[in-house]
Amino acid sequence: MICEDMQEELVAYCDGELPEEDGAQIAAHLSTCSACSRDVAQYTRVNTLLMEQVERISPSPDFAATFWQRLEQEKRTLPAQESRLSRWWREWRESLTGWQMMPALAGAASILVFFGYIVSDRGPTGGQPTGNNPPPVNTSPPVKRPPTPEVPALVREKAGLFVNYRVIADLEKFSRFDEIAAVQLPEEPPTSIAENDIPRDLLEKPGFFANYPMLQKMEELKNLETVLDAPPDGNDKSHG
Amino acid sequence: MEQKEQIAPHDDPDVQLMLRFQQGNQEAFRQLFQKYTPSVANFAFHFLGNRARAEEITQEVFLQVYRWQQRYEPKAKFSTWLFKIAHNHCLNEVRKGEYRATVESISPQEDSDGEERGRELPDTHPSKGEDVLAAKQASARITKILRRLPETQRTALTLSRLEGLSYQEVAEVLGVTEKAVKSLVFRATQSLKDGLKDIMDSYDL
Repeated sequence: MICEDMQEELVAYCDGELPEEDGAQIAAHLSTCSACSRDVAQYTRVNTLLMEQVERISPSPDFAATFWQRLEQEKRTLPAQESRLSRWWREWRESLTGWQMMPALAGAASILVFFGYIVSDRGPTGGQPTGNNPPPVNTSPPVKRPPTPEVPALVREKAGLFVNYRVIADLEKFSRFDEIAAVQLPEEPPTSIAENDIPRDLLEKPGFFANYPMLQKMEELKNLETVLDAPPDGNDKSHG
Repeated sequence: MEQKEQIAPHDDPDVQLMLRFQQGNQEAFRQLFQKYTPSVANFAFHFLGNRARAEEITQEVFLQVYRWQQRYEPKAKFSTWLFKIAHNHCLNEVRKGEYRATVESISPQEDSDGEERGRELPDTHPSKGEDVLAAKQASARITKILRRLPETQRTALTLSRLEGLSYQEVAEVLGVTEKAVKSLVFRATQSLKDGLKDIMDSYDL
């Protein structure tokens, strides 16, 4: 390599960027080449001049105060830091849309019902119901049941929360999670349950049949803490 | 010449600070902010040529660090990650279109007769009047040369020489190879050497 082609290497050498072996070769060359030695001296001088004389700024006196003020404003708009569990829940929920939500909602309702069942006097062991407990739910089509009361506007507005009536009814029979998990959602949504009492707009949303008492129960048991704190409900009205 | 030392990300104390911040330690973020504010501000200043915009960008960079705290992974030195954010912000600023580089704050000041006039620097060697004058001229000339360098050359040179990043770290910031950085720094150095030749020849700088 002739000296002219070594200039890039010489600058890298001045910057301490050459591997040890290459650096040693350059050093050996410099000991015998006055032209390259002069170039290295010039590059070193340029570096020194740059570092010593380049214009540098210092942030304004109010720079830091302004920044922390902006950060405080930013914090107010940033969502609170999520725990791993809540982030997983949000991402999972966001990944579900439309029809995918139906089994998800049914599953959520199942869990709520299950916990409601646990906190009731009957308990998960299937003990004898007390006189205050509601009778077991009849899982046959409830054609003989008294008509469902008129669905209030609140229920209408929350049609998406309604769960499949048959699933809920079946869940009443179960006391273990694996039994609940084994429940198969019907492919065709039932249409014969108190049909006359359910508004048309709800019927047009397949899979979401109104069980107003159950919704009320769900509204009471919004989260696990509520469920665990709930006193045994001996006057459960959810079963009519 | 002394070889630049390469350290593993986890051995970088600033990476440790960032990891502590990631775990909720606000004091760690404060320390990083205090340590790197001047470097980021000067990097942005040399990139944009405007002090006010440089300060604005510096604030944006640290806000971004705050926002992205959970995304941070210690794959490189903290400074490499930080300057990558700063570089992207500067590029976006330039590409916005509305940005107009106000070179007056960085370009050399000229007298009415066209002669370059150095900035007012602290007179540290009052007995060496000629050296002080040469230093002022050098400062103005360097500013002018830097402004005329292509953006990648200027960025490679300032990160390497002024902010102390290795070629490898500069390559990560710019998204190019280390070999390309070597070439960029060389060409920038050549431009500086050519531009400062008469000053270096005239004065003992």
